[in-house]
Amino acid sequence: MQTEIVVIGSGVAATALITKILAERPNTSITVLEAGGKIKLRDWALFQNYLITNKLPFDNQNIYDSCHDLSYPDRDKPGENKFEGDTEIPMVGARAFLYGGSTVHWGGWSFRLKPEDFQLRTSLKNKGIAPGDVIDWPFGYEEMEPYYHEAEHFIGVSGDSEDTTTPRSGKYPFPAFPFTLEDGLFIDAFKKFTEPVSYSHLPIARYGDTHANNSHGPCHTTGLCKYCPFGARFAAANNLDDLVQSARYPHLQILTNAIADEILMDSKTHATGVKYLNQKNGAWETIHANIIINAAGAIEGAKLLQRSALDRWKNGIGNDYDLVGRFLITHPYFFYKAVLPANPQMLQPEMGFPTLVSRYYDSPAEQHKGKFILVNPPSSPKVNLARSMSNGKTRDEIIKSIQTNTTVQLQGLIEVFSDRRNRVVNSEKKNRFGMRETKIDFYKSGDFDNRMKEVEAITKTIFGHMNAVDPGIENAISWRADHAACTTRMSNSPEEGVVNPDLKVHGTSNIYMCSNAVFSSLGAVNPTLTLTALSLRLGSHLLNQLKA
Amino acid sequence: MSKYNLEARYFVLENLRKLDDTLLDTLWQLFVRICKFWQTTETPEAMKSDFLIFISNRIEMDIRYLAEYVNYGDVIQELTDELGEEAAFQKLFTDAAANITPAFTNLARAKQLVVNELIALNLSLGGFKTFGNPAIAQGVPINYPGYIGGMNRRDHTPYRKKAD
Ligand SMILES: Cc1cc2nc3c(=O)[nH]c(=O)nc-3n(C[C@H](O)[C@H](O)[C@H](O)COP(=O)(O)OP(=O)(O)OC[C@H]3O[C@@H](n4cnc5c(N)ncnc54)[C@H](O)[C@@H]3O)c2cc1C
Ligand code: SF4
Repeated sequence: MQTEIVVIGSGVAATALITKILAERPNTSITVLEAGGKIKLRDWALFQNYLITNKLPFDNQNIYDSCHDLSYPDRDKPGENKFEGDTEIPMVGARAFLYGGSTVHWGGWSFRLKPEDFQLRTSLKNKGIAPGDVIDWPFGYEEMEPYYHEAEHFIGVSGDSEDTTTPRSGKYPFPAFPFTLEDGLFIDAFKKFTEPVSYSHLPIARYGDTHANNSHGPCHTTGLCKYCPFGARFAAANNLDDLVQSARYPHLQILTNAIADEILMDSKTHATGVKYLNQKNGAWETIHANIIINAAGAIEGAKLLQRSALDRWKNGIGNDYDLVGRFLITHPYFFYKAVLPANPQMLQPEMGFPTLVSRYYDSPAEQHKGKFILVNPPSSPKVNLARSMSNGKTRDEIIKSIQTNTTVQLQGLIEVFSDRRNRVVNSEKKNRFGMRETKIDFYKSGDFDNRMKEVEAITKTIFGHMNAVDPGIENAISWRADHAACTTRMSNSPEEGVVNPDLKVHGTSNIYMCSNAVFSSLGAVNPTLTLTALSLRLGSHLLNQLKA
Repeated sequence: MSKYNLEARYFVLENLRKLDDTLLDTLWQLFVRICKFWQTTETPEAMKSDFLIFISNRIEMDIRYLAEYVNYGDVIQELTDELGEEAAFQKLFTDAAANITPAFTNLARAKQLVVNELIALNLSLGGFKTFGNPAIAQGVPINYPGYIGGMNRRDHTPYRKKAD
């Protein structure tokens, strides 16, 4: 099979890129190889089932149990993948192997990085701190700004256009969700600091994009919508459907259950195609292409390079400096709680997603210690009405239990820095999808626990300002691989990273990485808006190339 | 394109999908009772078409629901004969024995696979709105995670907003 561009993976990175290229060159022949299968979206019966059972269509023990890693092996259960190092990075639930990739079950938090995030190394050096393995991005915020704007419109972000947290040249496509009554507690507490803690509306990809050329409906409601029956919430699978079903793009094809195993090359620099396992018939097949886009995610993307073209690159493509898979970063996610002794207003989280965020600590002043954000989370309310009713509680009993007291929570993401020891590699074993399992080595930095003590002290003060008592940790820190990044990081030179500023693998002429793997550093916020902006930027670059 | 190539809907024979009217009405009476017992709405009729779609979707997704609904019909009939209508629903809604796991009695199956699901549906259709003391909530609906809260139009936010 021959195609102009082969894209490995069908997540948001692939989808944004393809959309951009096809908009300008509708006849481009593009083939997408997707390891997973397709699940049904936009189905009211499935949504009702989710509403009643709390089981997503792709959840465990469901007929669609086909797209998640299993937990690590333990005594009683078979598992997948291995971890070493001092800190476990759980993979279960942290990505989805399916048509449309992980945004089928993401949260939609859509932040821009801040200008200083692009200069982490410089900033550490200016503070007199040894930057270690940390590097700057090869370009700054001003280069990214137009693509951020484009990305916000592509994934349909609702946000506050007056928010000055990051400089912006245009408005969000949709207005922000108003703060909830419960947010008011946090806002009042933030204001009580000597230097008030700033806050803003959390930008979230929720509204269907009504003005673009796709079939997304507008967001109707404010339910818990990990699974949107209307296709309003951005999930790359819906956008892919729009492309595939459009008669305008006759040479786009998406092969599901096709696992890319190796990128093939006819010289050290030039790739010719991809060898993949067609899971539908069990056969090894090859697709030839002029341009190879590796959009398989930060973990699988790096692993694919490591196992490719070993006759020309001893340790895998782009890996002469043994950097592919290294510098793995993910976001530690922290959870604190306290108790409001009385709750006459019956405050409970009223929506399934957050509306309030503080990026006060996501600032240059905190950068050298690891920036963080604070969110009033979309947590489960103390009293679950459905459960209370099912358990036979009367209306009066339920109301009394809500008014007695309530738990308030603060959650957040904190930035950690590159460390050469942290990496992903292939293991020999294959998982139940037929893909090579992953081995992860991860060490948290020596000062991490102290940093968390500082964060805890700040959250305690906030709880104190709201007269909440018994502050404490709600859950142990989650190091889940949801935001895995930096494994083929972008750099000006091959000694420091794996891809160049155009996302092309150093030392190759036609292999591009398009995933969180290319981040030079991760920042304190969720990565996907930045990833989408990078994909659109890559789209512009490739269109220029194709024209030439 | 041949039909066998089209995306499959749920495989259910048309005649099996049809619940008889009496049973459907029995289920609707249950839904109305839920509204009354927890005072979630005074106008359950507004939710009737959603209720009907729900019942038909449950059966389409899993044909065994037909048997669960028939079982519920038998259980409520027996309870009503034995205790009278009022007490029958009281028992169904509040008797701890109905929530045992695994649900191996007919009562437990009726409660867990029919009654509890309709409770969740009721909340999702807006039953939560009146939950709580409207005087305290100042008449503003209280939304509830996991449930659809109405249209998110600029002039109508379906959760309690912080006053600006
Ligand atoms: C529960 C959860 C919540 C999240 N919430 C947020 C959020 O609120 N905000 C945010 O910014 N980010 C969030 N994220 C992260 C976000 O989902 C990812 O950043 C984003 O989806 C990455 O997109 P991608 O296209 O690079 O990769 P993916 O979406 O993971 O797509 C990669 C695709 O490649 C396929 N693939 C992998 N290997 C191969 C192979 N060898 N051959 C063929 N195909 C292959 C996979 O099957 C997959 O479909 C969340 C993640 C999780 C898990
Ligand atoms: S709130 Fe919006 S995005 Fe969420 S399920 Fe409803 S329509 Fe979909």
